[in-house]
Amino acid sequence: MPKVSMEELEKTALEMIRNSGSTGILQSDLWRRLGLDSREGSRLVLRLAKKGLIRREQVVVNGRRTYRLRYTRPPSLELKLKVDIEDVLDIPCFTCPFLGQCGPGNFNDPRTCPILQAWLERKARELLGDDGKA
Amino acid sequence: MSQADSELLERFVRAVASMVRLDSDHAATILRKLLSEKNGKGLSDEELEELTNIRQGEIRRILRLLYELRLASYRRGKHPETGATRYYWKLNLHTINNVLLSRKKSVLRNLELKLEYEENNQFYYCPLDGSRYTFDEAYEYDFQCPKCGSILEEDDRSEIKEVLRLVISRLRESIARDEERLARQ
Repeated sequence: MPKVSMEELEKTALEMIRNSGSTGILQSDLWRRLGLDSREGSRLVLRLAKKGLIRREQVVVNGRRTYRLRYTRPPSLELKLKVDIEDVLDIPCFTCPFLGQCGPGNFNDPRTCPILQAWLERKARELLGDDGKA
Repeated sequence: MSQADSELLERFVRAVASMVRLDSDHAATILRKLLSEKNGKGLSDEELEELTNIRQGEIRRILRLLYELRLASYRRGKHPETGATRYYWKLNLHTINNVLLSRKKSVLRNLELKLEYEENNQFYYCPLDGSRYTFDEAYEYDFQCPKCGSILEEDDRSEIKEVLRLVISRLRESIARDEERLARQ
């Protein structure tokens, strides 16, 4: 096998895995096509997996355990919120810079926090009508 | 979707910035610049200064806030010409959902603690200045307001507890939905 640089090899391997699409490729097939032995091959595959470029899924083929490799899309640079924050933006704790330090017995204590108390009193008036003391 | 997402995130950053007395418009501007940075290299504080005309000191305070909120992180790099050390900042787009979810869980824990406290204590309040004391505190002050001397009255409002129960149950449901969405990705 001709000497090629690690980077070159990784690129070729990644290209092959990408071309295999959603069915993926068995890692033993990949090694064979690249002309690598299992030691070099598994190291290469682990490097790619570590970089998050491929996924490895354990499968049994002809009674032997091996891995099927699939390409993973690089992480997106788009902001996609899957957590709904619209309804919590209103709660003062959510936008409080001291949330991380807040706890019972600490300097910031949710049980006696005046900001939380004021919000609850306002909320009580809004939701339940102004029939209390306040 | 993404437009609405960045607006929501901006509202969040604005709110936290104003709590620590940072200019919320400036904080929103920095956030937008980081969001629009698409080549993945990040922006240094100097580049941000050029892009926004905000003073570097303030930019660094805003970046530090974003870092503390775990929304942004930096990498050490070198200035392409002078070779001086530069810090390049970018938003943690792949962890942002988990960061926000864990924040919601902290809020839930706070509200549960507050409800437990309200349920297990009897409160007194000053009719003049509205300050609030537990039974033990009020007893110590002889049921007189330590600030103005007026007689403390019993605070028997159940509305606070009702509001807390309502907000807690909504938040629990919302967190369950978020977790489902995150698991599906």
